[in-house]
Amino acid sequence: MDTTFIESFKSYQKTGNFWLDLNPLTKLSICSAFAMSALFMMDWRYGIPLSILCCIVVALAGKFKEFFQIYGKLSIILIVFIMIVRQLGTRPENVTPLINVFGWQWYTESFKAAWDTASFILGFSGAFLVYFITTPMRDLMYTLEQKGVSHETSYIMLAAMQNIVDLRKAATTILDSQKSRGIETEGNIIVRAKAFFPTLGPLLLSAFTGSEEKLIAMDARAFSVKGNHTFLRELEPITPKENILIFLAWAIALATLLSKIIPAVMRAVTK
Amino acid sequence: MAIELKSVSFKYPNGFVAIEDVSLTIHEGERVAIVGQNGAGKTTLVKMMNGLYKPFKGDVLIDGDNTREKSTAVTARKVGYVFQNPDDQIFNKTVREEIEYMPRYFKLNEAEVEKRLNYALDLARIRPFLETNPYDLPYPTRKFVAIAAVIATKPKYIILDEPTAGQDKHGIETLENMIKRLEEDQVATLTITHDMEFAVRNFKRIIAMAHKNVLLEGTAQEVFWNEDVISQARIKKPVIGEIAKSLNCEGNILFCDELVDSL
Amino acid sequence: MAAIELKDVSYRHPYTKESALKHITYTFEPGKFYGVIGENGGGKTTLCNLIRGLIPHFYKGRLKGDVLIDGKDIRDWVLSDLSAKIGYVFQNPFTQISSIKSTVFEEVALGLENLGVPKDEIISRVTTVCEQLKITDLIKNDPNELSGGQKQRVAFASILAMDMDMMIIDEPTSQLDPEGTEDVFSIIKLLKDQHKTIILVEHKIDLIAEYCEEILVMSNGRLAFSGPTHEVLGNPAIMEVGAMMPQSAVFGHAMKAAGKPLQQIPINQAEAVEFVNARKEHYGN
Repeated sequence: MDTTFIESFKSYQKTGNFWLDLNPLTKLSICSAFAMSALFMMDWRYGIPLSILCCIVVALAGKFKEFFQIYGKLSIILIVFIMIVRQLGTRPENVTPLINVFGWQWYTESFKAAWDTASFILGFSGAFLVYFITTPMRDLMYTLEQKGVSHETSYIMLAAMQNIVDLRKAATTILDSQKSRGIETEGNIIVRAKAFFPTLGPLLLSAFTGSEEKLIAMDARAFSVKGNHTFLRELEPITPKENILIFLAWAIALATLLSKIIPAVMRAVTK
Repeated sequence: MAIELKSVSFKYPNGFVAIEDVSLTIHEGERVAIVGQNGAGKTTLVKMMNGLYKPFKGDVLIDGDNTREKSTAVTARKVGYVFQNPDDQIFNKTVREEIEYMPRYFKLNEAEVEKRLNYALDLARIRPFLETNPYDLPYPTRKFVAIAAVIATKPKYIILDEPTAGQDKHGIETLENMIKRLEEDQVATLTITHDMEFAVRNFKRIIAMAHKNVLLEGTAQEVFWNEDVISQARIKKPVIGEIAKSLNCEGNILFCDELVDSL
Repeated sequence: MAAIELKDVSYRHPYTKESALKHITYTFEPGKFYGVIGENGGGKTTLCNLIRGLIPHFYKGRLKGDVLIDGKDIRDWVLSDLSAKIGYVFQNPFTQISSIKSTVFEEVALGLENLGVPKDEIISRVTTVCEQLKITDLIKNDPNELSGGQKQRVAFASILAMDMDMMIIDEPTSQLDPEGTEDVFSIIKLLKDQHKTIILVEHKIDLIAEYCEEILVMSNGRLAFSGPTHEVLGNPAIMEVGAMMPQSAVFGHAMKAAGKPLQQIPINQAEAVEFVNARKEHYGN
């Protein structure tokens, strides 16, 4: 019997990593603040370093691989797409030629604008992706319940997430089952499609069968009993140190906002 | 003509070895049972026979064809497999549609589809539920719907994975008659079961599995009176056998009338 | 006071014509171990749902007659109060896993969290129950990734941990191998020794014969036979309604038919051996 594991429940859950152990709401607040700052700045000189910062934070939390699998793909698709879209058509601000790509003239102004937009999206999404990769849903639900969100809501959210994971497993089982019947699933795209489409119905069906029994199962675990629930697995409430971090993050966001508003106001006033 | 396993081993993608060096032959028209504790590898072994799993060492030959060279679907047409959980296998709105699904997929003519439907219904004894939604039926009855659907594909070999779980007297009788009738029709059956009485009553050849391997195969007497096999495969003697053992009766008694005669 | 009283209870599912339960009258005494047997579709699970209060609070349909739990009419009970009082383990292991906990240990603890049990007690109770059900090497595993048999043990453990005085257990061993089945039955025996009221639905008649004190035979919605275990399981008439007789009893009847009657029809192994030895002593053969 793994006694260290069991003993670990007696104290607040800690992994030993600074970022991972922050309260989920702290992390959410910090990430939101930085995401907003990327929006306010809309500048590649801020957005790109922010994206790199996200990668560093996630690496220090030990989750770089999961993060980059999504973020890497997103970055490439986004940058290429926005770059091409921005260079399409003629715009009045395009005056400085940059490079000629197989007869297609690219301009510096569009290039910079594209980078600004792309890096804002990358910074914004990066900050939120950091949050979701480093915070298990159950931790977030736990803190929300402490703040008064109902037990039922928490259950529905978590069960829904598990349902999605289950759906993937169900898809594999269904495909195995089709193969076992003698339905050809291996081969060219048409063969695969023919095998796949009839499985959609059963797949959705599998998501719903047993839902009635699941409700009874939850009732059997005294889910709807009135009175206080206790928690086996507890997280530390937000500490004063964390409040300082939250304050700093939002201060930075505010600063970025002001850095854009104040010059604009000044320009309007001096006209 | 047979299912031949030649020194097969199976490893899951995560590296876990579930079957180690097993050699086995299931002949055409045979009636065999597989027993052994959960986790011994029974389901993994049979999934190699229908092509769902391919061995990483050794070969599985179905009537001479190596499963590695054919797609799962082609192998599965010869070796039918009824999943442990029928809900993994049932996708149509009525029992009729479920049973007719594969004959229609094979584009058989109406007469043949009807013939196979009737054959399957008779064996599974689910005719009263023909137009019912399988999910409105109790779980053990759904098991029979899944079995009927596999029977309708007319494989040469049928694997039944724990068909006895949760069955009542009627269900057990239906299974017994089904297996006998399939044998008469030259269809081999391989049944995984935890019901020791059922195994003893219906099978002359029993395979006991433990620790990723086949421990012993033989008659019911050879398996259930071998104390070493019983303890390693974590199976039990049928009750009559236990009584006979406690009474120190002679001979390897497993049946009621044998016991009565010996006293 | 009787734990559960049923007085001429009939129940019909919504949109069906045939009643699932027909005129059942029975009294369950506290601290006794009851076995419910009979063919599938005969009303065993419906009976369980009724006693547990799911009928009428969860399953609507027409309920007639009186059902009293601890003297109070079931219609006056709130379902959540019943769930704190009567434990329910049901057949399908796949739907009993909550899907909201990431380790088996937390899964087993869920019911205790809902009951507001203090953390230290949760830890000790869950640990004990995991040891009893031999799932200690699974405590860190994801409950959603377990096999059917493992899920069945975890589901059982989860209800066991809640330590209710009354437990309804519906086919808890359908997915288990003989060893696993023995484990579950020996735990149920422990519960019996703790004087809990247990209602067990099972097909494994030889084990029912060994542990239960009273048997109910359900057939076609009716209570076809009921009474002390010996009386019911030794009676060949139960086979006509689709119930099975224990192998020991079949043996006993065969001995009688062969002109070698035993003092009584045995219903379990120990009795069979005892009576045969007694006969040998008496008759010298």
